[in-house]
Amino acid sequence: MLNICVKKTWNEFRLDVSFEIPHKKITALFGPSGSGKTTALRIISGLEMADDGIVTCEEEIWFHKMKRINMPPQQRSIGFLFQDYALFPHMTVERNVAYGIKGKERLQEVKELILLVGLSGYEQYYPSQLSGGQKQRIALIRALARKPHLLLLDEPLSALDMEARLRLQEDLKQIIQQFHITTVFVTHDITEVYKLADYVVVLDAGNVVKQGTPEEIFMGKRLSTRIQIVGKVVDIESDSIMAAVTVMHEDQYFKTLIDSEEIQRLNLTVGDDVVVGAKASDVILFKEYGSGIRS
Amino acid sequence: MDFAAPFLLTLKLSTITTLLLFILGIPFSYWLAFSRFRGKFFVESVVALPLVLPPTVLGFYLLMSMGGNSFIGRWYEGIFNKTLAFSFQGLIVGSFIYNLPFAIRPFQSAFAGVDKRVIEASWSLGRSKLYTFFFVVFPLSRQGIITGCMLSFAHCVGEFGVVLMIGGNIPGITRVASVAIYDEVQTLNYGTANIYASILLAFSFVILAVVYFINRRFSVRLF
Repeated sequence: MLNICVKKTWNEFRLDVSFEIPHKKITALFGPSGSGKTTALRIISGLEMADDGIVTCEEEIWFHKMKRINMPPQQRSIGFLFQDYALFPHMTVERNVAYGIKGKERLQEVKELILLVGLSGYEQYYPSQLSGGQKQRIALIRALARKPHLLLLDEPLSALDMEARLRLQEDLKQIIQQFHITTVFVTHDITEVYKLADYVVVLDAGNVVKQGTPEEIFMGKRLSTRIQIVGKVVDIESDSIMAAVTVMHEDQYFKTLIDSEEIQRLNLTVGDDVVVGAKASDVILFKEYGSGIRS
Repeated sequence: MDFAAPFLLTLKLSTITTLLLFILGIPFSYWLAFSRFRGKFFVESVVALPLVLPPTVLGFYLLMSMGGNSFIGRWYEGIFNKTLAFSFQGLIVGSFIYNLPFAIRPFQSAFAGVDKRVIEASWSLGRSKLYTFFFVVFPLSRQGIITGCMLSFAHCVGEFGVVLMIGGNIPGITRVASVAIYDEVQTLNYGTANIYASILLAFSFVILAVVYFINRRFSVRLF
């Protein structure tokens, strides 16, 4: 279990958060830009120091202002995946992955890790010769190579285009689950939260505003009469009165009609993440033999 | 041999100065590049002074601080039983100070240009600051470090004012190539002065050509 209770003020922004990260689960720090989620992640890693508070990981104190304890990042058992991966440009893929591993078995371990992410044959390539998705996978196994207790991911998919992003969400989840490691990732993408997270901590203006499972946080309580679907806008056809918005949810597409003024008010554009809500007054469930339950 | 002596002395002085600038300048530049010390601007201004000061001004103050009446001069004389001014060791001190900005500025910009996140990535992978410096920061800064070394070496070869002020013109001890040219011109020996000058010109050109070549090669290879 990771416990964080920290305060930090810089310029005119004040971060004041307190939350727990469940053991061996994937937790999302979710919130809009400037909500303090990346700073919270950097404080956990030790790359940034809080003004006050405590950070503990599995009974080990990493930061305690009153006791004047501030363990440097080198001594915290973490793996950190940076937003733009921060691979060492002068080292080959093999040397990048081996960088954090000590011991005689390191080359064998590196080979296995590279194989795990399907990049065998790329060992002698330099980061500049890799695609965004390949860099992301190498940075991820580099962070996992020394078997840390905690994996921290700073907007792990934001540097990729939408197509690569959707493809890599699944890969990322599989790799993390394979290592069975407590993971915290920062995102402002609601679809990423749904796809990857077991638990969500929602931050806004430097404070924790909600925490719970993605369903608890984003779904309405009366599920029997309210349906909410999270998706990405892929097309907007608009005239002066109405607009047809095409939304993609997983691999399904659906169209919804809304007022054109609403589009302008929301400043809705293609690529935005949206929550589409629908309310039904008389919900009827019936069972259709051979094709499961329908409503 | 007499003809070659000023050149050999120049090469000796430049090599020792460059080595000292490399050894002491690297940690100092690293500190300058990453320190958040409030008085950093003051330190940077002091380091950059030789860029704008007339060499005679710097030479004058160095001479004053190395002379037999100064604290440093007396201290040196007490230990080594000879004066620091008008000695080869005095020349090294003067050259080191005069060439500081030519080494420190390229070193500092090279270190500051290294992406902070790759440094942090190394720390997060459990590597110490020293290990990170040798295996990440230093290799990624090599272009600036080579440039700084070569520029300070070339500048040291060509320095005149400071050397003359603190070293004088003692053959075999402080009579470097640039001073030898001045000396030959004073005695109207233009032929010898021309040979010395041509060699210095060719040498400086070669050094600069190598600096530009290396800069180009490294920038292509790395990025």
